[in-house]
Amino acid sequence: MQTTATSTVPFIRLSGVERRYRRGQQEVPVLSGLDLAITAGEFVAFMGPSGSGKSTLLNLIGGLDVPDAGEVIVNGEELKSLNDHALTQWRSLHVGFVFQSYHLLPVLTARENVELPLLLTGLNAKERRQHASIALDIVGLADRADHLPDELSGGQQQRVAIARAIVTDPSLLVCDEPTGGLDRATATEILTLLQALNTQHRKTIVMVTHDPQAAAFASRCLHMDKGVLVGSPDSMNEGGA
Amino acid sequence: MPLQQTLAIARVNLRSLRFRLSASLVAVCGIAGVVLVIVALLSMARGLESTLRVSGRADRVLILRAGSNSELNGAITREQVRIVADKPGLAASGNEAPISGEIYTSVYLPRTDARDANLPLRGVAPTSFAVRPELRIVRGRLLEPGKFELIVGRRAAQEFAGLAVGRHISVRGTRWEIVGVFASNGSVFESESWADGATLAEAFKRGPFLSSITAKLRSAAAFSEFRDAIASDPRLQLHVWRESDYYAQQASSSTGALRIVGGIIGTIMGLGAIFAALNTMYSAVNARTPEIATLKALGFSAAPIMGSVLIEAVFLSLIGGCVGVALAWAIFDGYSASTLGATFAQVAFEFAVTPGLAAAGVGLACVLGAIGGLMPAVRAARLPVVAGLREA
Amino acid sequence: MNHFKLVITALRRQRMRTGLTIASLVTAFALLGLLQPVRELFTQRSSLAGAGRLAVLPKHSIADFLPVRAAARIRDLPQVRGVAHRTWFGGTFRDPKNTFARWAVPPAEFLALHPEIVLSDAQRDAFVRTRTGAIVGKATAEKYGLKVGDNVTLVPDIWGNKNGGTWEFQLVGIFELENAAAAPVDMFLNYEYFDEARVWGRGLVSYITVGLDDPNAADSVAAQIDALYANSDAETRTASEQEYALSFARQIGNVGLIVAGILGAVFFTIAMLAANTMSQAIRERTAELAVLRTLGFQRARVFVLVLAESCAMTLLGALSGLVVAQLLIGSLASVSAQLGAARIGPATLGWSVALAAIIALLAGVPPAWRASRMRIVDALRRSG
Repeated sequence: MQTTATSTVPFIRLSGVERRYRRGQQEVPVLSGLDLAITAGEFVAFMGPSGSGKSTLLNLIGGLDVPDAGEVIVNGEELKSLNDHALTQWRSLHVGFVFQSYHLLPVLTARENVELPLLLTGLNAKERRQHASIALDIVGLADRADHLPDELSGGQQQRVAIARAIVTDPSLLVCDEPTGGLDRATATEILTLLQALNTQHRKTIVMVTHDPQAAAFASRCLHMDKGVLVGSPDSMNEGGA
Repeated sequence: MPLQQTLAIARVNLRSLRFRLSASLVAVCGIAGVVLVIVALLSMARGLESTLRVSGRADRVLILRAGSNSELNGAITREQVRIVADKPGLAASGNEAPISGEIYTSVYLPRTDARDANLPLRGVAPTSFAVRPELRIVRGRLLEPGKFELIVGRRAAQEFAGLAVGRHISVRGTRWEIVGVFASNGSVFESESWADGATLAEAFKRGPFLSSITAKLRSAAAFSEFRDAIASDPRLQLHVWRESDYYAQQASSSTGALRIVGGIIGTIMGLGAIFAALNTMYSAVNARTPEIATLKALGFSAAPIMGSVLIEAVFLSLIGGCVGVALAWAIFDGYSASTLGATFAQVAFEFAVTPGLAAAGVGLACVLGAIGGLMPAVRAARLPVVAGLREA
Repeated sequence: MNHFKLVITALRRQRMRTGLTIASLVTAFALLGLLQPVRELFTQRSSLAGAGRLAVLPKHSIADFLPVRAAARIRDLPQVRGVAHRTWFGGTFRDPKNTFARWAVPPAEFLALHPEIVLSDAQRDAFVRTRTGAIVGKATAEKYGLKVGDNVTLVPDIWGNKNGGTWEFQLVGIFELENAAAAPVDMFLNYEYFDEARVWGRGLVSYITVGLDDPNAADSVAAQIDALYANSDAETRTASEQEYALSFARQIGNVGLIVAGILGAVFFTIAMLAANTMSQAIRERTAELAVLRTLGFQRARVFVLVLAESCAMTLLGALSGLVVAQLLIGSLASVSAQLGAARIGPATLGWSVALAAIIALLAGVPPAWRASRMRIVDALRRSG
């Protein structure tokens, strides 16, 4: 099933992307010549063994890292051409991150954590609170808004993290093993929430996971090994599921 | 057994100290700083005190006019000196009684460190030297009566500019030649300059009045006899001090203020050092949490664990204390200084970092370290094993 | 929730460590607040002495005297508004331990030259007119329960009384001082009566005070006076009253250097402690700061946040320390009344701000720099 005929131009496009890391004297290649196209509104899961480069791929897509070679174009923006300042600003406007270990600030309440990205906008305090409340509503945690992270369960903390990721209404969500530390039932809740954000709120989601059951929530699943995508050319280049 | 365990753990602690180097260094420096300052201040007090105490002898008396508490306000007549010379209790000696009536005044002079100050000037009688046998000339010669000659104390020569044998100073329109430098066991007299009393009195038109009488007793035990004889004589309104008592009192009042100020500063700094030590030890315990939990899981009881933390704390503060004392000694011991004495003239003294003071400094450091290590030691003892292991 | 709150809550992270560091800062600044004013007292002009007054002292010893006729001669010099003199009476009031200053002065000239002495007109008159009159400062009057009209008995030490035995004066006034920097402690006695009745020393005074038409003429008038009496048997040393107080303090010793030394040692250690704390604190929070970067916080913003945390900690310690110092200054009064008059003034505040800024920067800039330069990916990966 094709997604809506919004555009044939991919939302995310990687061509010939290479990324190497230096370990002591050696350079270890992580991604070598990767091509990828994702259309707007897709929910793509990346799976693969550890060391396959999936997290690196995510970092490049999210603008947390810059490739050594090749192009990364997201929503028309060539990320390599942006300097650090512009890239940081781009991130604040266009991307929301969800991490395996939540990475909430332990001294701030749930609401305050969600408000954090809004500090970079020109909104006043009252407006910030409103937006944060809306985001917490969406993830179903309005009643826990004034709790500290260590008063929340793992699943609840992840929801707060998701609320924080969507509070500035970015078009892209980047999720790195979002259900890694959670039990099956909680994981299902989180993934359902992500799916809802994808279908109801039109957010493009790229997710890394090692759990096939988690990958099943995505609209497309891509496999990686040793720095390249494996599988049929069709599944790599077309939006479709 | 507990002691063995404690020492075993402590040995491991200390070996792992280099991983906590910067935090440990902070504690060492904090304690070194406190000890340095306190020992320096106390050595100042000790030096001043010893100069004053050594000045007074138990078998000598200082006689002032009744109501005076220093040689500055004296108004004693020569007639009174003659009456006192006849009183029982004085040492027997040749023709002249060992008693001298002296004039105490001062001269305003520039000093070597550009602080103008008052140099004590004592007009002495020929008998003054017999009364003070500890005085000896180290350069030049004794002054001669009837001449405008001065001898200056060793410390005065150091503190004031231009006081050397052969030089002259001008006082109130008169010119005096310095003919000798004297020493007297490091007493307060070494801060003074001496001239012939009769010549001084005439040159400065002081009239017939003397500032004080100094006399040598037959023995220290003769004091009460002598004092009672003076007190019961209605012609004399004089107060008799045993010389050692007089200077002891000066010592305590001079150093009293210094000790109080030192105490206040020391307390505040000590608190700061304790906070620094606490900080270091808490972070040491935090850093070693998995290790402590493991020890507990293995069966070590709380006491050796606490003991090892305390040993580390005391070890660090011991180093700090030794560093502080060493610095204080290197910088301050023997340092010459002078300050305002009871007679508003300069008293020169030397800082004295005595072995007693050094020991006290190190002891203080250990106490501070023990206090700073106590609560972290308790925390280490109370560490929950499971949570601690999970952190590993 | 705003940037300010972000900084403040960060301080609450490791309460024990932050608390102890702040406590150390408090002790350092308390010491500064205590010692700097004392240093000022010893090294700077105090507002205690009257502006534009000179003190003419006997050159060689404060135990010497000047002839009273010198006062009249000085009054004739140009630029001189008026003269007065003081003579140290000493003696004992009730108990030898009661040490407050007792001076013999000429009432009319003395009060005219010392406008800071606040006395009612009636009492002022009484002092001028009463032959055996005396006035005393309010603090001393209260301490010994003295009231106007009381008899004051002084046992002499230097100055015997021709009429035998003790000196009797009548208390005709109790004064206050306009200048809050000093307490009204002294006692002033009628000079004429004293001069006539003293056994010896007729016409001798301890020092002469000179009032000037123009304070700027101080140096030239002082030089004139000293030249007038150079090489006589009444050699003088003239300086402004402030300078006299200063030189006195200098004779006690190089207090400024000692204080600077102590404070230097203390602040060196505290700076080390603060730097150690901050860098540890930031090292533990690398992941959080990385997350802020992912959210879109620029490097510069992260730098400022960390630096702000260091500043907040230092500022808190500095302010609290000064408050503690203010409380402790009261305790200095037990050492001497002079020390108790020390005040935390602009110089002390200036030093505090400067030192707080230096410590905040030393402690905050290195970790702030490291935090702003970190690679996001590495920082996140290190902590899962």
